[in-house]
Amino acid sequence: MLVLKGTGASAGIAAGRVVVRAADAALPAEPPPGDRQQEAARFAAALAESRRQLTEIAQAVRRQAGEREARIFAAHLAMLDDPLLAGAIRAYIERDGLAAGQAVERAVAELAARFLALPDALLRARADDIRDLGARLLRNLRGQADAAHAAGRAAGAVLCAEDTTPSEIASLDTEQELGVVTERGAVNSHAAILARALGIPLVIGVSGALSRLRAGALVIVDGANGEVLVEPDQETLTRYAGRRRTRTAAAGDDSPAVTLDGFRVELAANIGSVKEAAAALAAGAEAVGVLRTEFLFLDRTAPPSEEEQFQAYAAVLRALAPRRVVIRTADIGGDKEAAYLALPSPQSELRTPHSTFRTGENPALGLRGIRLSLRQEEMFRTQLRALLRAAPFGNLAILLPMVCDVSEVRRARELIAQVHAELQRSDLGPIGLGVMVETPAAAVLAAELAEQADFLSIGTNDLTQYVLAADRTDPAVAEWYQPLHPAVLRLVAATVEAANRAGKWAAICGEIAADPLAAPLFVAMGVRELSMTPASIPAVKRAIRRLRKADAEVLLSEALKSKEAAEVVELLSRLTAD
Amino acid sequence: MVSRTVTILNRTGLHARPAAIFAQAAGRFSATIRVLKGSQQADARSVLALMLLAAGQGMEVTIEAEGEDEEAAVTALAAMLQSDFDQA
Repeated sequence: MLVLKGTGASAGIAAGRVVVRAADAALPAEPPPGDRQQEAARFAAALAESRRQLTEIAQAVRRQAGEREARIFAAHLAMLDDPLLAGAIRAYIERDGLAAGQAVERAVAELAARFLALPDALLRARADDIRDLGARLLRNLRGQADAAHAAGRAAGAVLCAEDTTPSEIASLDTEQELGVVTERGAVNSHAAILARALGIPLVIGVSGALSRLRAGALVIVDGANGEVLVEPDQETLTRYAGRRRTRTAAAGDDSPAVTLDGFRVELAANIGSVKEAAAALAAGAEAVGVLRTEFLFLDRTAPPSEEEQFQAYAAVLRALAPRRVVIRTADIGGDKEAAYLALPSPQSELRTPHSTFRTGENPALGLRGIRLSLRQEEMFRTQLRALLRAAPFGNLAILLPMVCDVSEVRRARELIAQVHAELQRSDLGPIGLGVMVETPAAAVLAAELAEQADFLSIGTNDLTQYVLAADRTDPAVAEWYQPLHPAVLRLVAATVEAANRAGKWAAICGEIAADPLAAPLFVAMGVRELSMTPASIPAVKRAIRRLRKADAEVLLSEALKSKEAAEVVELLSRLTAD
Repeated sequence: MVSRTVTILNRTGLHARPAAIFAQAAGRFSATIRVLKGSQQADARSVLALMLLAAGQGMEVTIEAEGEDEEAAVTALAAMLQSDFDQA
């Protein structure tokens, strides 16, 4: 058995037959060049097609992996139309009379070379993104569909290539047991980031992989150790099959985060797709603090069916059982629009007296979250039915977004009870119902809400934007958007106190929960759960373990007396420096 | 023409995502905007040119704008570079 060494860029084990994708896999010859005008038109068409493809990929990736990974392709879209790329190509065609294909090749080669010359490894890796865009433009110029990427699609295939691209990784069907082996590549490339998000084992930097791996050979890809085992014997296969199972079942280090004086904080993950459940486990999450369900509702023409939702919720609950999974009901509206809600619909359930769903001038203050759900009651009932049906598969709690007062919670409770009764299921125990505290109103009324709810989850992203009147999507007001502003902190502290006094638990689920610097404040407040992007869990855990709650309480009382965010940041930095 | 020199405080400098957000923000102004670092300069609306500046945290860059809303553009973009604008 031959073992090829490389660098593990995405953990996981895959076993399968090698499929080789040669570099520049058989592009059809370019048609003979036309005059400048014709070439410019050909390029314009290829550019438009590339834009369309990237938009589609971004949507698919958003559903499969999440918003953060989808941004890779949003960035590709921006690069595509950049003056230095599309602009340079146009100039080569129109000014220098190059054929469209040659113009693309020259512009891409020059630009990639400039990036490769940069001192920063992260920036150098962008050369791969530019080459990926160039290859896409060339395929489209030659009328070849994305089919070059279909090579790895057979079940149980291990794709072997000189290098891979974000587009190629995105086109792999992750339902199949797939692995990827490349000769070149970088651990921080977008392709590698995407492979990690999608859970595709990837080993890069295997020198001579293309010449040493024959198509059809049986290999095991060990993404954690960066090894490719060629023609393994039965014993090795069995051993790795066992490791693969433990990897899926077992999790990362989920030992609890406890302060030096014994206060325990549950560290949970915020996830936005079914696929991210694996990342949550790998990072050592003890629970899921928020599963955002928007991925089911966005980028489509009709709302998701009860069955589709049920399947998705059941899959996440099953993957994480017995850990608690808090599933937030749809928070569409605001900056997350769903096209089908904007359309006048013949179905009466999508119409209301105020019918059409409009974004308005101020979407963050518009018809969103629980407001929209209670307005579109049939859609909300469908989601609740899917949730209750999925409940027996794990440990479910339901969370309501954008609540402003108790009537909304009461109404949601009624609907849940009705749906529960309709289902006539005897295997359904009580399901926890939580309230997101993200409006100033909810924070002020925290005591009243805590009476109605089983837990409060403080969404500091929206709370910050509403308290400080700073649109978090508008860079012009970025300096006013300060989650550590005393005005925000006092509301958060009061909310946690109200929850604790009512005997309910409070969680923090905004970006600030992922900041190790801020952890002492939340520990001191008596927050029971911090929920964050999975990757941040280890760092926050380390911060909590170094901490004494008694010290943190002194710090908090000073922080709450601060007059501005800068003072709070300074206090926190001083603690870390000690 | 208005110009201002600032130190980049954003943790990840002007890498892919911050560069895209910055270029998008620059696109909201009608002024011609350039970002200068040493002898290099970039069109503020070009994501690729911004990234090629390889401007990281702690580095100094100068934002130059010329046009009707030059003052507003420089103020807003300079403030961006001095915050963690891609973390929100």
